[in-house]
Parts: sequence; C-alpha cells; structure tokens
Amino acid sequence: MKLFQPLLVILSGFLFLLYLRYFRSSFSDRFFALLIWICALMTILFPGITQIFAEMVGVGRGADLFFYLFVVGTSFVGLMLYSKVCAVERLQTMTIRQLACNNAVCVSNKSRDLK
Amino acid sequence: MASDRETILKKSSTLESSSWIVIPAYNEDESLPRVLREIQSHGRTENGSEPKLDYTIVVIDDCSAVPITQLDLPEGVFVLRHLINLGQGAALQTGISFALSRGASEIVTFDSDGQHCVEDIHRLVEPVSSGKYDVCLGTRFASGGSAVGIPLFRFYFLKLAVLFTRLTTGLALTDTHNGFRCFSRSAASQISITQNRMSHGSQILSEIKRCHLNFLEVPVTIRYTSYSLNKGQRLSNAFNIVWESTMELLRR
Repeated sequence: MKLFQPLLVILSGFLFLLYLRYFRSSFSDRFFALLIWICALMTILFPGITQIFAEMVGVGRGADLFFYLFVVGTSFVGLMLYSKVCAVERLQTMTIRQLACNNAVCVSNKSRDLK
Repeated sequence: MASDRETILKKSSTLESSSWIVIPAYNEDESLPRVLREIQSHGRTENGSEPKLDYTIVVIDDCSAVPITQLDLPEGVFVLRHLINLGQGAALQTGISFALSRGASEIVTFDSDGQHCVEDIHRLVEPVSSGKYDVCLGTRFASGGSAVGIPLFRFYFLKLAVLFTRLTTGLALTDTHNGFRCFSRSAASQISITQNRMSHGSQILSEIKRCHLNFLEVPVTIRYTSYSLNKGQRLSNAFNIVWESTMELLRR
C-alpha cells in the first residue's frame, strides 16, 4: 500500500462523515452518497479497477474515464448549486417585498415625522 | 407609530386614483423629484373645489444610498423601500403587487431618470382603461414615436434586440425594453416578474405571450440625455439578459 492510499481513505471518510453530520438529506440521498464513497474507496485501494471499466466503455485509460466522470459530476453539482442559489434568492425577494409593502409610507408632512 | 402609518395610509386611500404609476428608483436623487412633480402637475384635474390627481404614484426605492424618503418629494406619493438592492425587475414587481393590493385598475411602469414623457402616459392608459386591451407597450420606433438623442450604435443595437425578441417570444413588436408600459388589473395579476434584474423586460413579453394577453403598441417619445445614458442600461448588459433569459427557459 502506497502512502497516498491511507491518506485518501481517511480524507474521503472524513468528508462522508461531514456530509452525514451537516447536510439535511433524505435516506435515498444518504444511500447514494454511501455508494459513491464505496466506489471512491475501491478506486483508491485498487487503482487497476478504473482501467477495467475504462476498457469496458471504450475509453483508453482509467485516468481519462475518471476525468470525464469528474467533469460531468462537477457540472451537475454546479447546476444544483445554481438552482439552490436561485431558490434562496426568490425567498429573499419575497421577504424583502413583503417588508417593503408592510412599511409603505405616503409622503405627507405627517409621514415625514414618522421617520 | 405603526398605527399612525396605518391611519395615513387609510386616509390617503380616499384620495387615490385607480390608475397607478410604478416607478422603480435606485440612486435617482437628481431626477426623481422633478419627474414626480412633472407627473403630478400634468395629471391634475379640478374636481369641484378639490384638485384631484389622475394618477397615484408609488416609488420603489431599491436601497438607494440616500433613502428616497429623505428627498423633497411631492405629497401623496407612496414610497416603498427594499432593504437590499434587488434590481429593477424586483422593484417593479413590488410596486405592481402594492398597487394591486390598493385596488389599482391600471398600472403604468415609468422610468425615474426622466427618459419618459408624462404627456404619453394618458395615451398608454386610455386603451387599457377602455377595456379594449390588456397591455399597452410604448414604442419609440413605430410611426409617431421618437427616440430623441439616441446614439447611433444604440439605435442599431436596439433594432437587433427587437429581432431577438421576435425570435424568442414570437411577438411582432417594433420596440423592446423601453420600460414604458401599462397593464390592466387582470394582466398585472397574471404576469409574474421573477427576473430581478434587467431581463425582466424580456420576461414581461414572454408572460404576455404565455397568458395570451391582448396588447397594443403605442408610439411614445424616449429622451436620451447624458444623465439617462450614464444611468441607464449598458450595452454589455445584453449578455446578462441573454444568459438570464436562457436560464429562466431552462428552469421552466
């Protein structure tokens, strides 16, 4: 076993535990995360596996297959985050709109005294 | 203090006209008071001994550095303030929601930088108030309309934008994105502006198409001054508009 392997196992395990601890998610999401973690463990401990899968799907090298999956994965995560940001922005807009309507002021000498 | 505010709002409701003008504003302390006075002096009729305003104005302060309530504004104007800067689209929707909640029957959107002419307001409101149309859109490029002082590059760029709008919305318009419109109560209730920033103009047109609203283009005058050109949209915003419109399409 090379030095990077136990380091990556510990790091990925730590990230998985962080996910379980801090992210609110459904059982199916957690199960999916567990599957990804097991796949990561297998590729760390047995790097040759990626080569077998790469040849199965017609990609020359295991590293290439990993790279393609990484690009697809990060794009998906990027879109998910964008969607979350939009949802938060919509919620923020609704809140600020409601506050603005509730605190409407009609300009008059009296309303100026209210400030 | 809150009850005082409610009393003032209730009292003012008896003086309100059913035609509302929604004006989004962000750091427009130089032009806004003048624009508001122009609207009020133009739309004022004598009703017996009491002067009556033809339009009720609501200004949405999109978190300007100097709060708009601190400016020297004419009486009777409603001011709503966003706690953070959200963008012109969000400010318009806030004003429209507020006007609807106060019983508006027609809602005009008007710019705060002095580009729009108050003389055109009635021409936009009339077809909607008569019930013939749901929406009136101001156009500077149709016969009778004009774009005073428009830079040549902007003119051709806007022509391209008209073409883009035709392709994306399918609406045969002669102008796009000049911000001068009038909605009936029903149309304003159906249209939902979720694009907070500058692409709300395209979204409104898409909403007109989606809701099958009956619309009319009315020739208007748009005045370009060095102030409005500095304050207005930059041409680079076009890329943001295309990006935001595309993401909106994907979200649906």
